[in-house]
Amino acid sequence: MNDTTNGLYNLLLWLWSTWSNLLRLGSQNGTGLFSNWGGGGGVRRGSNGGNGVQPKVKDITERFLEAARELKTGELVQDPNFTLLEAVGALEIMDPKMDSGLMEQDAFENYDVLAPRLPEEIIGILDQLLSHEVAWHTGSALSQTLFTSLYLDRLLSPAPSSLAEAGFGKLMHGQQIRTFEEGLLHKILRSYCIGLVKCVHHVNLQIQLENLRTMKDAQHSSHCIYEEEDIVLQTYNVALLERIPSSEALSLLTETIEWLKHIKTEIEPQIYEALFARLKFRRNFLAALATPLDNYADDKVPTAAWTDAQDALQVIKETHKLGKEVPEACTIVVQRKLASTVPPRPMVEYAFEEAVATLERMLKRNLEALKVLEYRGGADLYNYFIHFMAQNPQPLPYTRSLLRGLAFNKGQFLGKVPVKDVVLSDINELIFPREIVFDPKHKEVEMPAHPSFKINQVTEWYLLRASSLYCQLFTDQAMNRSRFRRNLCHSIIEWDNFQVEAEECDANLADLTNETPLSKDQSYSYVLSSWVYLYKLRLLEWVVFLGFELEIYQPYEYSGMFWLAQFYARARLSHLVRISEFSKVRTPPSGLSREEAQDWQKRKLLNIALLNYHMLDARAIEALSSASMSLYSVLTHLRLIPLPYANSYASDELRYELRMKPFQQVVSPQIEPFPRAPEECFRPGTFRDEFACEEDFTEWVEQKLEEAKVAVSYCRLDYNELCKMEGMVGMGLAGDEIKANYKLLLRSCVGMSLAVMALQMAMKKGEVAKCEVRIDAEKYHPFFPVPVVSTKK
Amino acid sequence: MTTTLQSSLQTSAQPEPYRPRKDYRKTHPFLTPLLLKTIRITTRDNRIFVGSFKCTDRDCNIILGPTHEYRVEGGQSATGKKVDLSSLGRSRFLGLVCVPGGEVVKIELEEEGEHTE
Repeated sequence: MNDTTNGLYNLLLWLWSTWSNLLRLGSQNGTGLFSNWGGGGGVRRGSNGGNGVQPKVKDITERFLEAARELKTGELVQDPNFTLLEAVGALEIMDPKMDSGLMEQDAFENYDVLAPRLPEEIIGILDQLLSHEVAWHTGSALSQTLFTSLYLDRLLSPAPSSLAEAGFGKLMHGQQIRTFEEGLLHKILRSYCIGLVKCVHHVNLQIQLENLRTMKDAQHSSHCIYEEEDIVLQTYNVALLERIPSSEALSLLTETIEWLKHIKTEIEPQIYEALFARLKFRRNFLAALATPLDNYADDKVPTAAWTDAQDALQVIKETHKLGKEVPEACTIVVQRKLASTVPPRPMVEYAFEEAVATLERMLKRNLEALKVLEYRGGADLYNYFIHFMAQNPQPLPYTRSLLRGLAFNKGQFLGKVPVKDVVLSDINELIFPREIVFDPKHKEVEMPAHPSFKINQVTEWYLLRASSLYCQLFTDQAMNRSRFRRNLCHSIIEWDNFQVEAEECDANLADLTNETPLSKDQSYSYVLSSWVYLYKLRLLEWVVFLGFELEIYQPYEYSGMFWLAQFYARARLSHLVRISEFSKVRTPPSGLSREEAQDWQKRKLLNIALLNYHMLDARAIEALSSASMSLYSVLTHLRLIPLPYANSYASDELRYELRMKPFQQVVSPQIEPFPRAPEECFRPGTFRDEFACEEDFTEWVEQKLEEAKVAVSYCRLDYNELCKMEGMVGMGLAGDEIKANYKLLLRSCVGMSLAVMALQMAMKKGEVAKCEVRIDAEKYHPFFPVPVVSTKK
Repeated sequence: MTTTLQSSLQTSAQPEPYRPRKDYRKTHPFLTPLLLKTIRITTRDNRIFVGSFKCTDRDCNIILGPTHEYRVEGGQSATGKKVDLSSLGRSRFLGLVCVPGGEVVKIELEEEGEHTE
C-alpha cells in the first residue's frame, strides 16, 4: 500500500530472515552455521555462465573408484573436522523416503497449465487453493499445501519482478483477451493467484515482524524468546512476488472484476456469481491484510474490507457445489524443486467445509481484534487479551499476531500510549495510592537532596521495571496456550524478584513521604509491591488452571491442584482485603478545588467498587476450588478415579516435587514441603489406609461432601451475582466474554453440586461401589472439569 | 581438542572411558588431498550434485557438504560430454547429502582457476 512503509518492512524482513536462517540452519542440517551461505536456489558461485568464469573440471571417476577400492571395509577417508554424528543428518540420495528429487516428474510435465478449462473447473481449482491456504494458516508447510499447485508453480518459478511478467505464459504480453475461456485462465485465475500469493506474503511478513518486535521487547528481560511455532513461515526460497506492490495486485483484481461484470451476459448467472464472489473475497482479503498496522492508528482501519470478505465467503460456501475438482492440478512432485533439506512430505488434505469454517472464524476474530483500538485503559485491554486468547479453538497465528501488533506498536499501546502511563493508570485504579507517591510535580525538582527528587527516582525506576514485565504478559498471551503456561512459569519468578525490590522501594517511599501507618498494626501501605503481588497471585492461579485446560494433570492429581488453586485464591482475597483497608481510609489531599474534590471522591468510589468486584471474583474462585478439591479427594479415596501406577520410580513425594516445581521457587506465598502438604490431596494411594476403621473413613467422606456442598452453594451465589453485574470497571471491551465466562463457571459450579449430591445419595444407600465416574471437560469451564457420577446397571 | 579431552579422560581414575576406534580413518594418497575440494557427482538418474567432498568409503558412498543439485533434463545425457552447469538453469540447495556408491556414474573435480577451451 504505502511504499515507504513497504521499504521499511522489507528491510526488517531481511534482517529477520538472516537471523532466523542462522538459527534454523544449525539444527536442520548438521553442517553448521555457514553451510547455507550458498543461498537457496539460484546459480551457484563460479558456475555463472553470465560472467564467463567457468571452473576447470576434471573427470576423476576411474581414479576415484580405484582408490576407494583400496580401502578396507569399515575404513573411511574423512575430513577430520567432519564427524560421523553429522553424517547422520545427511540426506540420502536415491532413498525415496528422503530424496525429494527422486519423485516422478510425469505428473509435473504432463499437466498443461495453459490448457483451456471449464468455468466449473476453474471454480474447483480456486476452492482447492482456498483449502490449501487455510491449511497453511493452521500450521502445514507451504510445500505441502499451496506450493503443490502447478498454477502457482508456473506463476512463481521464474520469480517475476513485475506484474506483467507474472503469468502462466504466452498470451500475457500485449495480446488481448477476447473470449471468456481465455479470460478464465489469464484473467480470473491469474489475478486470483497473484492476490493469493500476496496474501500469503503479507501474513508471513506480519508474523515475522511480530517475532522481531517480541525479540526486541524482550532484550532487557531474561526471558527466552520463541518464534511463533504454529505456522510454518519457510518459503523454500520462492519469492512471494515481493517486488510487486500490493496496490498493483489489488487493481489487477479490481480490473478483472470489472471485466467479469462487462461480460456478465455471456455467462451463466450461477457461474458468474461464484466467480465474482471468489474474486471479491480475494480482493478484500488482500486489501485487509495489506494495510500496514501503522495505518490503523490513523483511522484507516480496514473494517469494510473484512466484512466484505465475510460476505463474499458466504457466497463461496454456497456456490462450492458448482465447482468441479481438478485433482491433477496439485502434486507433491513440486517438492523436488524446492530448496529444502527435509524429506518429501505428503500433501495436506484439508476439507473445503472445514476450511471455510476456519476462515469464517478467522475473519470474525480479525474483526473482533480491531476492538482493541477502542482502548479504554490498561486493565480493560488486559481483560480483553485474556478472553480473546482463551477462545477455543485458539485464534490462528495471524490473528494473534494482529492483535498483539495492534495493541503494541512502536513499544507503546496502540502506538500512542506509553506503557508506563498504562501501568500507572492501572496502579491508580487498583491500588489508589496517595497522590504524593506519583505526583508529577516531583519531576520538576532538580536538587538531589530534596525528597521529591528521591521519590521521583524511586518511582521512575519502579515504573520502568513494571512496564517491561507488564509488556511481557501481553507477549506471553499471544503465544499458544502451552507455550503461554511455560512462559508464565518463568515470568512468575521475575515478578517474585520484582516484588522484593518493590518492597524496598516502598520502605524508602514510606520514609520519604512521611507516611502515617494504619493505627491498628502499625503497617504501611506498600503500594508498589501491593500491585506486583496482586499480579503475581493472578499469574500463579493461571498457571494452576491452565494445567487443567491443557490436560496436564492426571485425575488423581486434581484434588491437589485444586488445593493449590484455592490456596492462591485465598491469598489473593486477603491481599485485596488489605489493599481495600488502606484505600477506604484515604482522605482527599488538602487544597483541592470543588470539582477536583468531587473527581477525587469519584475515583475513590470506583477504586472501592473495583476492589469489591475483584474480591467477589477471588472469593468465588476460592470457594469453587475448595469444593472441587474436596469432591475430587473423596472420589480419589473412594477409588472412583484411577490411582497412579505403583512402580518403584514414582512416589507421592516425587510427584509432588515435580508438580510444585514452578511454585516452590516463589518466595511468597510459600508452598509447604511435601511432609506438611495436606495429606488428603497429595497422597492418593496411602491416605485411606491411615483410617483406623471403615466407619471413620465413611465419616470423613460425609464430612468432605458436606464441605463441598456448602462451598458450592456459596460460590453459586457469588457467580449469580457476578453474572448480573453491569458496567463494571474493566468490563468494557470484553464485557460479553467476561459474562460468558462467568456463565461457564456457573455451569461448572452446578455440575460439581450435582456430583456432590449424587455421591451423597450413593453414600446413603451404600451403593458407592456401583458408582462410575467420567470426567467431563468439554461442556464445562476448562479450568473446572466436572466429574459426572452415574450408577452402573 | 579431541586429544586434550581424551588425555584428560585418561588421567581421571576408574572406569576405563569409552574411546572410539580411531583407526577407521585412513589417509590415502589420492583421496585425502581431495577432501574439502568441490566435486561434481553425476548419478544414474541424470542429476548432478556439486558440493565439497567430506567423506568416502570402500563402496564409494560419498558424503558432500553444502550441496547443490542440478538436473539434466530432456533426454540429454549427463554421462557424455562435459556439461555446462550454467546451461541447466536453477539449482536447488540441499545441504549435506550422502550419495550411495551404486548410484554414482561420474565423479569430477572442480579445479581452481578458469576454464580454458
